Amino acid sequence: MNFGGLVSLAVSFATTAMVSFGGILVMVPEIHRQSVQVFHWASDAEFSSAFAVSQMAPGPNIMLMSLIGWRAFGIAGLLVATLAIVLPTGVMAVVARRTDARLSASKNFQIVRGSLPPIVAGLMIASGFVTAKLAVDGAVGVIIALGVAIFVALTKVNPLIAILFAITIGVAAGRLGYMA
Amino acid sequence: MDGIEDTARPCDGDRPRNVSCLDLLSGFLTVGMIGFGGIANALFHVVVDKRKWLTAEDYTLTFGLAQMLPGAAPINTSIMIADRFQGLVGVVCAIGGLLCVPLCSLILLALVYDRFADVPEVHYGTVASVAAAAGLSLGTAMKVSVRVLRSAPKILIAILSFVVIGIFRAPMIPAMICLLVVACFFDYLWRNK
Repeated sequence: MNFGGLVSLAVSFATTAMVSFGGILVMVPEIHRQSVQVFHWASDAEFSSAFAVSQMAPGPNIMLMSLIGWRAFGIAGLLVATLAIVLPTGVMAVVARRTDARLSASKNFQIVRGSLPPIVAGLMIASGFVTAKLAVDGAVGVIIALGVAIFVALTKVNPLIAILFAITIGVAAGRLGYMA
Repeated sequence: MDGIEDTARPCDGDRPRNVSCLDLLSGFLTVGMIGFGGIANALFHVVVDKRKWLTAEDYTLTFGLAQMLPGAAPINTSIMIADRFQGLVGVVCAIGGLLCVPLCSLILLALVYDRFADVPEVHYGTVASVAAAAGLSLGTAMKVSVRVLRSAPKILIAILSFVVIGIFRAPMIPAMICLLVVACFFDYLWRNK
């Protein structure tokens, strides 16, 4: 078993999780940077298919990282990746819950907390941008990405509907020869 | 509803209503099974609507605290709910229940995907769904931006974050620390000008 690889996987994903404010999907640029550019656990195409598969399965979005772990190191990788994301932040959650009042009342915490939202907004745009670069080769991809973006921004309907519709459009466009 | 409301009100003390480890296991098993596209909606549905472990207000408070912390907010919310009722044993039951079905279906789906990766339709569908996910991020970003970016320094910080991470692909930890420092500084200047 590749022990060193598993350790890098654990450290990489645990540290990513520790700075992931605003949800795991916001971390897609960082997960991509680590998995593809730094550690070569996956190619661009493999990352993109792992992303798609993890979106289609039921369950939390962190499973993108579980799947990258599985692709690189098998079952051990799957478990290490999943635990690396859940465990350290989970411990923080338990500690925070048990000390709830004190933490939220601290002045410094309030200041840091208050300055997070614009950063998260910027990171979300970055995430969409990096994800789009993975998928969008040609007009169909651009149209789908923009269409879903507008749908999500303007309606409160479950975005899953837009995604299923987008896949249908994609397959149809592909069959008609509009996709690379 | 009126009569039920009262008995279903769970959390006046810290561990008032008896939610056993078995309850946690089965409840979170359901959350994992029905949570497509993330578990946030399924979590609310099971914990508040179906099982009535928490009131909506209580749930919102817990979720709000989870959102302040790093990590996946729905998972941290699940952990906090389980810890509240059954401590760390409850957490293990909840997370085990939450993840086992999704992880198994993830592997199955990945194997099926590999088997059919050469079929052109699968490729088109994959590209389309990744494009759609990109759109989902961008759409959510638009929604959040409209609500959050209400002053010049905030807009600047958002642009800075986008450029540093999206264009220059800087490592997240040092980038996040720098962005936070700059954001707090801007905030300070803006308030005291």
